Amino acid sequence: MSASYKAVGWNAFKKRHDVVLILSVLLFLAIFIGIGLLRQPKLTLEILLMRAFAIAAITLLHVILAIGPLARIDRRWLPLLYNRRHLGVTMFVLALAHSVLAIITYHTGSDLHPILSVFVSDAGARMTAVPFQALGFLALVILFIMAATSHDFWLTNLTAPVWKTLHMSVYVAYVLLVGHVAFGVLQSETAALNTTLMGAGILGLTGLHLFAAWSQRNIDNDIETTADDSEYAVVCRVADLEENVPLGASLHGERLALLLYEGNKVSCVSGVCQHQNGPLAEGQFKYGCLTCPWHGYQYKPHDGTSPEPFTEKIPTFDVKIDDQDRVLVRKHPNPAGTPVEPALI
Amino acid sequence: MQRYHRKRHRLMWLLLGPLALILLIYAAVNRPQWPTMQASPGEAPTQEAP
Amino acid sequence: MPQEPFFIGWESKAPVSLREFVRRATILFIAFGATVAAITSMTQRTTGSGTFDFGNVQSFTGLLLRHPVPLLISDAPIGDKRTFYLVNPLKHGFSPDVAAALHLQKVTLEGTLIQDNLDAMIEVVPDSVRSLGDDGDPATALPPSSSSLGATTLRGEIVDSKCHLGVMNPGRFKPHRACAIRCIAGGIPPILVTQDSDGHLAHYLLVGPDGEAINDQILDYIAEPVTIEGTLRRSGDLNVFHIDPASITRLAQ
Repeated sequence: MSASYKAVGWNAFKKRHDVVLILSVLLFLAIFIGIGLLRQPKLTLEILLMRAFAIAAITLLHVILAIGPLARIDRRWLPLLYNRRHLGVTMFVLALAHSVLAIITYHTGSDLHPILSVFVSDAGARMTAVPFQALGFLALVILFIMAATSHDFWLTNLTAPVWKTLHMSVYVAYVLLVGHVAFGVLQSETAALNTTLMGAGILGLTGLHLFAAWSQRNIDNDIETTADDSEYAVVCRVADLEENVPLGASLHGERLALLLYEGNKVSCVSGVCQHQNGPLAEGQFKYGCLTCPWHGYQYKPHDGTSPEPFTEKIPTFDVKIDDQDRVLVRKHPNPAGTPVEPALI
Repeated sequence: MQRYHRKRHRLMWLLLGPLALILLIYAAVNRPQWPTMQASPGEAPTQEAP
Repeated sequence: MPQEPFFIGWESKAPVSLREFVRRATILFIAFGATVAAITSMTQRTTGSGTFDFGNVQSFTGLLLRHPVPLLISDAPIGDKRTFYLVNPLKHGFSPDVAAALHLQKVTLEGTLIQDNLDAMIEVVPDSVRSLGDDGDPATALPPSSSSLGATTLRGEIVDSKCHLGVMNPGRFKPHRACAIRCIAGGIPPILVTQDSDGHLAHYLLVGPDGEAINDQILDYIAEPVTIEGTLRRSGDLNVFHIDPASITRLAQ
């Protein structure tokens, strides 16, 4: 929604969200550190803190990764998706605190440079010499790149598809982190509960993702019927349209959103939000605009432009209604922001 | 989200989920076994275990 | 048909039912996190008995020995511990030159105490070691007697004495392995830790057949289950295990 780049577009929701986030993290750390100080008084403080930051980070990572599929399964989770990047940056900061403590504690003050030590000190091909520290370091690099590019500045300049692909590397980081934990601390802190918790996390996330995928499997089935005029495809019947409720369809793998509004007008725009490629057809018609369910970006249905002072725009499609009361959409989209006379029913 | 993203997510979790689980279980099952032995002659009397 | 409640991030208030849902979801996540924090903190159990008196620099006097590793036979025992390993700050052993120059002399030095249930160590403030000359009680000027206990085979874990005795707790096992390797490479005395079926530990200082340092030859075997053949000697308070590093064998899984 920004015409210029602000550091963070603060609003009341984001402020409340971040206050709750910080307090929750502090609560987590307080519980872990408090119990550790009481039950393990000889545990070296740097090691206790190192563990607290690490477990807080990986727990938060599981929450972050759960939000996406949860939002697909039930739209009520979308408010948590809105600010997910704040969770991500927070998780990175926790992971960084853990890494700095670990490097200072275990790798400084020796005959080798600390970063070199991270990679070579404990490295070998056998089970007892798996370089778990290197796995953690690589994961940290990925998380850093993601945190550093989490701002919309990067989203715009890298373009949404490139940015999204870059941020899919969180999944690589996740596997690296499982390896880091499994071949590291779980080799000595062998309580069954620890491995069980980690396993439950993996299974939970895997199950959520697969269930979300399965439950959404029909959304992107392509329209098959071509109209008599072969430039157009038949999307639906007029009777399928409900006033002010967008209807989504997929044309050659591209999503579009049809809308019946102002009583008798039918327009069609791209179903892909220009911001982060959110699903516009799953949004709502509010304030005279089709509104994206992810971050609230808005587009006017007749020309795909955002209302003043915003400048985003999306492609539009020519629409006509045939004599069988079917809604036809021209397969080839118009350039973003092109006005199109709405079809009238 | 575009269709290609959803496909990639699906693939990720069909591959990465099982991979992560395999790593976890492999590492847990192949932990080193620490030996125990009776006290050797002449050493100082040992005290409370940690 | 009324549409479902719709969240728009930049609006100051979301629909009431959504707010309720988000509140419940947030509480769920916080409760989940608190549970994970409690469980994972309670399952921590590899802490040893070591302590590091960080920040408390004391004076020690006694007889300095350079063999088998730099040691101080203190005039003032702590509990039943009279023999103190000497090390430098961070991951460095005591200076071999200083040890050579002051071997068998009465010295005073400043340092920080590191000890566990079995052994004790002083992290020496560099340049604080002073010879007190040759006066003093002849009885304490003699190094403690050393007796041989014969050939034996021991099984356990090689760790660095500094971390294990208290600078890092836990100073054992895989998470600490890199640090142990760097410490031993830096000259910290390596010790073999064994445990009996009740979990009681014993320590054995590892040296070569003639008492020489073998730090660099054992780096590959640190923090793993190993079996070693050698000759056991008792030297004052310490168990000293004279070994040929080539005889170290990793125990099969």
